[in-house]
Amino acid sequence: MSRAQRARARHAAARDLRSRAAHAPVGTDRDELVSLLSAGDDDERHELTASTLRTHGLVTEPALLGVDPGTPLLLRRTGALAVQGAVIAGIAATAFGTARLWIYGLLFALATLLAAGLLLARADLADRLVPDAVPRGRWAGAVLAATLVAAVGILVAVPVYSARRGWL
Amino acid sequence: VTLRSRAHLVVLVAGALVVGAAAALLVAIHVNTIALDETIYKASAVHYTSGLPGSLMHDLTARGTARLYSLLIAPLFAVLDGDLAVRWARAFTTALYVASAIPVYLLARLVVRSRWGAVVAALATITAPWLVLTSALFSESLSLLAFCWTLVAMVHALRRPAWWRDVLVMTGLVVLLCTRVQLGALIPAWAIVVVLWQLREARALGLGVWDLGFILRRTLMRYPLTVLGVALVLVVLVALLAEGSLHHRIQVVFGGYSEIQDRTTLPIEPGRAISFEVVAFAVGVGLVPAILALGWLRAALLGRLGREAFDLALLGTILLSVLFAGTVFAQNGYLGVNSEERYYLYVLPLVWIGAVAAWEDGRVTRGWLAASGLGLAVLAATVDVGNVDLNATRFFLAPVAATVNHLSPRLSGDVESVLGVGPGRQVLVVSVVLLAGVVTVLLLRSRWGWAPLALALAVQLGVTVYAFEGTRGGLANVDSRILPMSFHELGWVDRATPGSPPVTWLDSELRVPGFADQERTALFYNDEISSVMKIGPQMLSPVGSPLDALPVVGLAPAGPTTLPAAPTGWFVELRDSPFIQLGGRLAAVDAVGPYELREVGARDRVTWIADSLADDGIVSKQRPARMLAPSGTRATLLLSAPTPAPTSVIVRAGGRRQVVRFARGAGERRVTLRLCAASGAVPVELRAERTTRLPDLRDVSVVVRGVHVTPVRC
Repeated sequence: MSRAQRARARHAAARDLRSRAAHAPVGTDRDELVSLLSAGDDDERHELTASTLRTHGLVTEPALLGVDPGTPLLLRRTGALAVQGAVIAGIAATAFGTARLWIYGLLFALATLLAAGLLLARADLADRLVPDAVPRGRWAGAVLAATLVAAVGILVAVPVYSARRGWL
Repeated sequence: VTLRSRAHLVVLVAGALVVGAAAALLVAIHVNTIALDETIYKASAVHYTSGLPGSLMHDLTARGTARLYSLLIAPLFAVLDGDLAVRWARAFTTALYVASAIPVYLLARLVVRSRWGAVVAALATITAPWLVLTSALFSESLSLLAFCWTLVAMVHALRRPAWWRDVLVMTGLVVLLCTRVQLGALIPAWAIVVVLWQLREARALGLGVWDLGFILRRTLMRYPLTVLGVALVLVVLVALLAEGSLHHRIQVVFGGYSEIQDRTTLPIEPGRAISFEVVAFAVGVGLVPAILALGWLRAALLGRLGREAFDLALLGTILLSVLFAGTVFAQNGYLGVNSEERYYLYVLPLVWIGAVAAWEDGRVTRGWLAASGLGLAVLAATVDVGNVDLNATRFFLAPVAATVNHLSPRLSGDVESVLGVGPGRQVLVVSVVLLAGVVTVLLLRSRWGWAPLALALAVQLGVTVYAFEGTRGGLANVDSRILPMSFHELGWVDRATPGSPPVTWLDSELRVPGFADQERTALFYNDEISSVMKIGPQMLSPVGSPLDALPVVGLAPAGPTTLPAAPTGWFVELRDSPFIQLGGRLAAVDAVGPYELREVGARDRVTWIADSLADDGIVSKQRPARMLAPSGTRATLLLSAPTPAPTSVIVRAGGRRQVVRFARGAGERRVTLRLCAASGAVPVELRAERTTRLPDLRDVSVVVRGVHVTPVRC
């Protein structure tokens, strides 16, 4: 198996786990998760497993890092990571917009709030808006927020910018 | 551990000491002419002898962030007289340079199997022609040492990442930035290296784009200071850009170098600039090592020589590519006859390490070496490496190019005496490169395999000795940088002032060609000159660098018939200055320049002062000269005509009037005035009568070149 195929297989396994945890937490243990989701040196296998779970919007109870081998774990979905991703992307966009003109920052902040609100209140709708290829952790939130910020930018910020420059 | 098992280290250290001692004792401490950059480093060093850390932060002389070298040599200037401090600083600079042998040895041990091979690489690095840079107070000696140690730290940080190794790397990079602004380019280069290494490892682990979070966290844990530093720099840059003050901030931090950000044109012939340096460094190391190193580089980058060789080759390639690209851009491309090699010195350790590694490793094949030799010959054909100005300064700024320039006509003559036809310089260089390539390919893997490298070492040493001879004045048609004047004479101010009192430079010079060099020489060897006194705000144009970095003290201008009160203390003034002369004890006279040192007491007075005189001493229709002297003075004016045309001037003093005429082509004339009056001061006026027009549209009559004043009884 090539390196790229290995990476794809790892993420496919994580997606599969997420599907299995769609309605209720899934029982598993550390070694099973590590064998499915990790690669590389022994030192880093657990960190990579935990990272892959987070990437796909999954958490374990208790937390994967620090538990003994064979400890039963409950794997469940979380929307908090997607919200974090939206907020991180939104803060960057808002800071950039504010540095140019406060109104851009305000618009981008509103777009970010909209994305975060959507993720919290209508997770199913947000899930449909984000392409399937994007993992459902922070990436999904960041992509959703970036899309909304870009839309606001094109629809509002660009006309405002053009008007200020006298292009319109 | 026995001495025998450590014999290679003993040889390494002893060899470095011998090289350093020879360079310092035979040349460096005897050089008594100065290069412009030396005056800047030295001025900063003296500046740091008091008021640290404030003086370090507010250094008007320093170029951008380049302050560390001056800071290191500052203690010498704090405790020694100026001329002695200069000599010790040169010896110290030489020690810094040869100390590079140790980190080069450590680097070489990564890829060179034999300890003795690593010793050869290290000693060969420090005996290359650029050793001649130690004949001046230049920061390259420190930057080469710091670069080599930083490279060692980088290699280890990449092989076994740990936060403390990252701290060592970042410390090295900060040291480099604070030594030479040029080396700031290594900071983004290191960031590129870290990113590439992490991506390479991520790929090896089978990580994909969605694992970016893991890769970032992993990078942060391994290189915390690098990641945080880069992030901080990016945030600050974006913030300053958004605020609109980035341009100004870059100006503040990088000083004169910041003009790069205002460039609107691309560098001129950057490829030629790089070709010039590649060929110069190849010739400087004796060609064979360059051919071997290129062959080794290719094999290493293709992964044929193992992980260590690949890592060092890739690291060196990225660092030097970014550094040299930045340098070529900064210097605006090919500099022609003003080309310098010192900016590219950092390739030297890797050339010798690669050469020795290739020499002992059979996996570097003859075919690759042949390709390297041919490639080098093609490069040599594209640029005339000997095309530089031939002077003593060029022999340390570009020792190889200067050597090729000086030596090639003689070699060509020798060839002509044998073959009947003398090749041109470029043909000669290309032929020698091809010859070196053939010798390397034919002999390398034979029982005579040691011969090409030994021959190269001999050639390298020959070029080094030639460059030093260029500095010492041992070559025909090249001025020596060791002039027949003693350091004791040069440090005449410091030597004549017991207890190191502050001495004031009295701005009293005619702004004529060469005056700035005289100023620099006096200031360079005399540390006690710590301020500048100027007559009034507008009397003379500003003083030059580095005198302009000293604090300025004002002296009240003369009134129409009144002299200002004389300041007290120690003063260096121009002998027979037409602008100002102070009374007081003549403490010392400059044996090599036009200055004298006076100790002025409370009872002494101003003995001559100009109220109005152009700063080149010219009396014109637009600006007559008005000067004052105390009553009881005999003043002898030294006048000359500004052009060969006939002119005349009316001289009025003490109620008398006389016309001084200059016939066509007349030389200098002395006019003696006896100045006596009832009041305290006697005005002297020179008004143009017959004039000639200068290109600057002034109608001029005479130049007041000097005034010799002596007391006289009225």
